[in-house]
Amino acid sequence: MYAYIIRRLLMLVPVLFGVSVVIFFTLRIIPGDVAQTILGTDATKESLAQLRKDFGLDRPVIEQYITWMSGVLMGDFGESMTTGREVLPDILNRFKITFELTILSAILSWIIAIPLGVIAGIKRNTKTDFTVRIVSLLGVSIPNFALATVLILILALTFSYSPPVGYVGFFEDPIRNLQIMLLPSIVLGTAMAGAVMRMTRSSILEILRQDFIRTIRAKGAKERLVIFNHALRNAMIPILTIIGMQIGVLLGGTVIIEQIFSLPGLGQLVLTSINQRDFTVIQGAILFIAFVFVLVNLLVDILYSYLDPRITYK
Amino acid sequence: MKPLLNIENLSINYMTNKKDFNIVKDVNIKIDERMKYGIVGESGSGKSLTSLAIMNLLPEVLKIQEGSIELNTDSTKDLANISKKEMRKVRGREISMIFQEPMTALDPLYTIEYQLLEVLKIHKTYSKKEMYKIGVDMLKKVGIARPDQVMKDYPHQLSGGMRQRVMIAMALICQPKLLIADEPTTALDVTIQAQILDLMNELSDLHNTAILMITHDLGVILETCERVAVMYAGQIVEESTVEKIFEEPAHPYTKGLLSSIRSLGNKSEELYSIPGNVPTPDQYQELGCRFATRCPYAMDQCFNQEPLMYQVQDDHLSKCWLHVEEGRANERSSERTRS
Amino acid sequence: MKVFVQRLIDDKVGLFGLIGILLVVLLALLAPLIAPYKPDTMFTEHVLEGPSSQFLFGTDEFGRDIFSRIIYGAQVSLQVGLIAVGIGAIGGLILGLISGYFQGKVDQVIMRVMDVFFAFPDILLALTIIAVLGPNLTNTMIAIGIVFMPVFTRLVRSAVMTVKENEYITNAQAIGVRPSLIIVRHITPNIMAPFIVQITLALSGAILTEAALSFLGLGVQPPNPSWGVMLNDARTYMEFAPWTILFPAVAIVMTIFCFNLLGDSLRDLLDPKLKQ
Repeated sequence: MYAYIIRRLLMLVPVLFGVSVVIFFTLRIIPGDVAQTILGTDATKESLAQLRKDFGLDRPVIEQYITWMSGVLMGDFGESMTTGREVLPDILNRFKITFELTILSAILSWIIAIPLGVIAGIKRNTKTDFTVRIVSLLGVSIPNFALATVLILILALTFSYSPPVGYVGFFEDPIRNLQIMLLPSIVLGTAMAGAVMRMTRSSILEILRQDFIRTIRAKGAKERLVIFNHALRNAMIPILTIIGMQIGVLLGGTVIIEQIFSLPGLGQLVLTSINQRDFTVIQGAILFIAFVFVLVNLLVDILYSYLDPRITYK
Repeated sequence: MKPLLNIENLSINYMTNKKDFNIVKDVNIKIDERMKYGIVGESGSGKSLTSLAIMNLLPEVLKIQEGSIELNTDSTKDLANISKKEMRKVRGREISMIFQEPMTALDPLYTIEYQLLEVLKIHKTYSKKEMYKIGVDMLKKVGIARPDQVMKDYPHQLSGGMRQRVMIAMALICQPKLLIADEPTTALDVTIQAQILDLMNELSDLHNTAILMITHDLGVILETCERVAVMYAGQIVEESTVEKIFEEPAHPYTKGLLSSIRSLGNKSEELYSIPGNVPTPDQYQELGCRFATRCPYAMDQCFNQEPLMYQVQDDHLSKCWLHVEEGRANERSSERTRS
Repeated sequence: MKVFVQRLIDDKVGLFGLIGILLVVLLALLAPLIAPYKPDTMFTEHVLEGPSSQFLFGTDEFGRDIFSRIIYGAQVSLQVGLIAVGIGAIGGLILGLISGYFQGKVDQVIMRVMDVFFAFPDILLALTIIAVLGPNLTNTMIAIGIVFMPVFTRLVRSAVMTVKENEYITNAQAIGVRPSLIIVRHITPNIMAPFIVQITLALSGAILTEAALSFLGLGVQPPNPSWGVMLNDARTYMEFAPWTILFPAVAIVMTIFCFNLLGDSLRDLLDPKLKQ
């Protein structure tokens, strides 16, 4: 098992290497002068030259990449082109918020989606089932930014409530932190809830058709035992797949949600740095997010083997 | 003495909002304690549905339309009219069932230990240690050589034959009065088939368990059963002891079935098969005999009026108009000899 | 085919989706005829007015008719959807066919590259590409197209590998039929079912991504009437002019919903596993 995990971790190396190459070289084919973009049109020739020199923009691209990559491997992601701050500590600091947002919305969506999906699966072709199916499809269809704005609007108009501004860390003031994070998490989790609900329903349906469910019923087991110990546990395998895929959607979604709710997370950092063409930050942040994403997928794969004894990793 | 299981006039319908048609009709079966009873028929004959009806495990769209399924153990219950809660006490404890596909009949995510002892947990109150011991003993009884190892295994680690042994152990662990075996050997290798049948016979004698064997294979019936009902298109067409059915089959369908297996062993003859196909439920005739379309002896009457169960001899029933005709002919000839 | 159409009609949910999509397509095609005004005409005396008989869905902060802008916005959404999915689907089809049919080294290379693309969350990849190319309508379509390519590649590849196992393919290979002919004649028709389902679902995804990018100011640029842009512009005024946000939001949600309804019901119809 450990050997498997280590081997899988090693397999991430080429993927992450690929990500770094793609991101770095894509950013370098940008038309126009980077230094000019960053410093604006009224920058002096000297300051432009200084910036180019500081960030090695005057050297060949391959050389720039090697310098950057060897830094990254040592845990040094370089400095921001606009603020001059170190990139990695900034990323880690902001990731705390993004992490909390992602986890909260994931958990919220599972709490709602899995039970509803199970109920819809058991009560197939009833009104309950139909409602759950429509609601889940709506959940998948509502873009998070539309949901966010409309929710904020409705809350403002009906309860004169506006989401609290100014982020407070969880460990500073847990209650205020949760107040701040609740609405963004609900919005971010909606799409995942829809997807998980649909997958839960269809896998429960599929599993309930299996022979072994009949065997368990023939033993005289209560429906509760049949559903929870056997049907749901078997259904968790495909559900886990969709969860792994949706984590990517969540991570991407934070870019929009953090912007709307003014949360100083990693997503917001990506957006600002893209708008400012702050290359070192963009490439660092995106490489980091990709790293988290592939790690989550590895985690999902390991969970498979925990759930399903037929999967053995050697 | 009352029979252990007494099915009377059982009819099952397929029922949805749009459609409603009959699938199984007027099934009557009596199984005494310790008896080995067989139902034989082609796929689509309703034999499996009959067994699922006994267990109250029919798919949602199928409903018991009529009839009773009386189970006489400590008390008398009608399984066609029983609460879900009561039925759960019957399943696994008084009647248990093994299925055709041992490959898919076990939950892939749980160990054999968990699935074997699950039945005990549901119905009995033993300590963990006692349960484990009962489980191991049961595995030994079904001929599993290393029971402690197999307890730890997952279904995918066992062969088909082993899994079917585990299924039998699971079915018998609560010492039920009746074991329903739905094609228990069909999915297995020929060599394993005989072993499994022997094992079932042996254990049923040991535990005083009656067996209801559902199969398409007359050979299986011959090897295990005392009585047999032949089903065709949702109805029992002939019912008697195994000897009588094999030696003096009365119904044209049974005769056809027997000739088709006998011609297999006989190379000089052409392979015999009954012409035509088993009708699907929506093709069942409203009137007349359901076999008439394929019957070599069909008469006009057979298409207009449903035949009754006719007592051809003591303890031998057959559902065919021919017997009535023969009876009349016999009467006429005996009248003639008298005059 | 007839049976298929019949079943789609019987399946009311899918039919609802199809009708909804046809409606949006019709709106987009006939926009100049249906829309009462041009999308960029500013009625300076009617800034931020609520719905009325003159302005069905009200006006925005420049006094533009929201109803007209939504109708023209349908053009943008569909255009981005079709072209982006076209790029992704055709690219994915070619890569997937090559990868699945020839396997070996080519397959290895293509799939490793796709793995790299799968490591990016969709919207981030699109954002990066747009950061490079610059935000406008064309680049939005290219970015979304590239983002969707890996899904199509993987889908086509696995479908090809399944179909390839069939005996008639082996036979065709054995009698020396050219690979290109086998791919075009035998394999492509057989992978169409999952491919079409994926296209329907990708269309909804593309429309959603376009709206999201435009919302962030990194997609379609104003004054182009993209629904995402409209939503973003409206955020400032939404509390005292809720119509500026509600109508574009409903337009986006309903369009994506209809595509998903159709995609869902197509998947059920075309999936042999679910046939009873």
